[in-house]
Amino acid sequence: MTTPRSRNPASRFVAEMRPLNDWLEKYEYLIQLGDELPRIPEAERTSERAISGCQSQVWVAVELRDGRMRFLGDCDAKITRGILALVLAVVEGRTPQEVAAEDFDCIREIGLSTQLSPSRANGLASIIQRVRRLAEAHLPH
Amino acid sequence: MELMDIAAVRADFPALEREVNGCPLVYLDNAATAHKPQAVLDRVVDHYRRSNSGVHRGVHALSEEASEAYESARKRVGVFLGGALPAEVVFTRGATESINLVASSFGEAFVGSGDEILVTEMEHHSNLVPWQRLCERAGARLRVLPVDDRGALCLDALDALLGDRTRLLALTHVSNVTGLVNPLAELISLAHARDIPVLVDGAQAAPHLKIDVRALDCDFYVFSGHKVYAETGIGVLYGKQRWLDAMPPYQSGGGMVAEVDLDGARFAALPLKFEAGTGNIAGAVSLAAALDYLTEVGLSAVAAHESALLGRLEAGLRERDGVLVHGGRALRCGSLAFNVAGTHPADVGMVLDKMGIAVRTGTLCAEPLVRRLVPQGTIRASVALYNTDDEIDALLVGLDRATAMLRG
Repeated sequence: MTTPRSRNPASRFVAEMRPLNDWLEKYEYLIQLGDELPRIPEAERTSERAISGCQSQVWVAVELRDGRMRFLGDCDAKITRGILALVLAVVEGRTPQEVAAEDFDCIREIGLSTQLSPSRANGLASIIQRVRRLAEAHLPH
Repeated sequence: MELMDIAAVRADFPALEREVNGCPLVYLDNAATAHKPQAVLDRVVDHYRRSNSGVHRGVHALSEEASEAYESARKRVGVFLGGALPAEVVFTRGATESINLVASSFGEAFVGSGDEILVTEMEHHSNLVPWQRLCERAGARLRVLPVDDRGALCLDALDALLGDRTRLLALTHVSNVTGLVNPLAELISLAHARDIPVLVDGAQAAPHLKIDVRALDCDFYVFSGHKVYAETGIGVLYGKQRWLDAMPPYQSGGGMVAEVDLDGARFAALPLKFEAGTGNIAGAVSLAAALDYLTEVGLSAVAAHESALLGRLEAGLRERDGVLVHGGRALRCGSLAFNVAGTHPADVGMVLDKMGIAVRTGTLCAEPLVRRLVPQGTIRASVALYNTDDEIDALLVGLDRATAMLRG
């Protein structure tokens, strides 16, 4: 069955990661995902786009076009860039209402949920929090 | 030289038996906190099972037992420090609180507008931020002895930084990043030649080196229990009696007073003047047990073992392409920091974690030093008496795997 959700590339990424039992293989996959994420030019890595609370530097930018959120993200570390690519794939092209309500269950499903605790320095929790806040800021009043 | 029976030592630490991510735990983050030997855990449980009570106030048997345990722990710490008097040993929550106590109380008594506090560029945030805040409050100026490109102190710059207005030199014994050991005797005698007292942050030295506050002649020495195999939440401030006597109390309340009426209070004698409230009695008991344990294994045997581990690690790292070991080829204690060209330290740490290997990455609570050495942060491996050659080799093999994954 084809639903709008299954056309989302995040579903494909999750499906491809699911059979990987070894964490190092999952990380290799994430590194590959991160490598495919378009870079944010250095001049556009502004402090407003930076996410604090990660050991690596993470930037997220968003634009609303035709009521849909278009994200750009970058990170100076590879695994976190992969995690960022996965999060952004979940929300890319969706409305602020949808993004604000997103529970990121698919990320939990591939076992990254152990990395969701705020004490984890990889930034997943901070990235999700930022994406939600950006969506809330774009909700119609 | 006494030798260590490493298998017997490892058997004393139940936490080392666990697995992480399906691999045996390789714990090389000991500079953050060390695991606890069963002897320490037993003494804590025994204290709560038998002698739990308030100290110094009750006339009943349990209170006497608890007071005896608390005060004999204080004596034990005094011996560990090379012969400090009980009056000079203040129990705190840790090295951080010890430094905050001095910044607050010494600051109140001796630091005013236009005065200066001298720290170094290699300090842990715990020995930097309290002084920044004191200077802000007092209208004083914080001066900084710089490090060179390796991360070692620029000793030549010291003389010019010690001035008429310098009220205190606060510096670390051992860097929590590079593991470099500072030449304290030289630094302290330079400061004392100008009547400037010296506070030494011994958090990274106490687990590894024989400490002798009398021989060092430092005015204050601080360390944390949890890094010397005791519980978290217990630490020590050693201070020369003449300084502690001249300093006002830090916090106030029960236990730190001799006499109270509605108009005011007379404070207790040292060291209780600085110990308001019910202290961490079980923590003090655990600290005494940990120091007993460390002494029983043998301080010189521990030092030789740990130095061999760091030597093995350094040699292995230097054999590998693109690995930069910080601190140069110098005397190192406990910790070693390095970077691998073409990789981000956070990535390396995350990959190692999945192999069961615990290291610390990032700016290590010493942001000024680490940013100076390498802006992205660094990787630190830090050893304890229970680490083995095999664990060092596991780290080196793990690094090769991480590097292969992350480069390119």
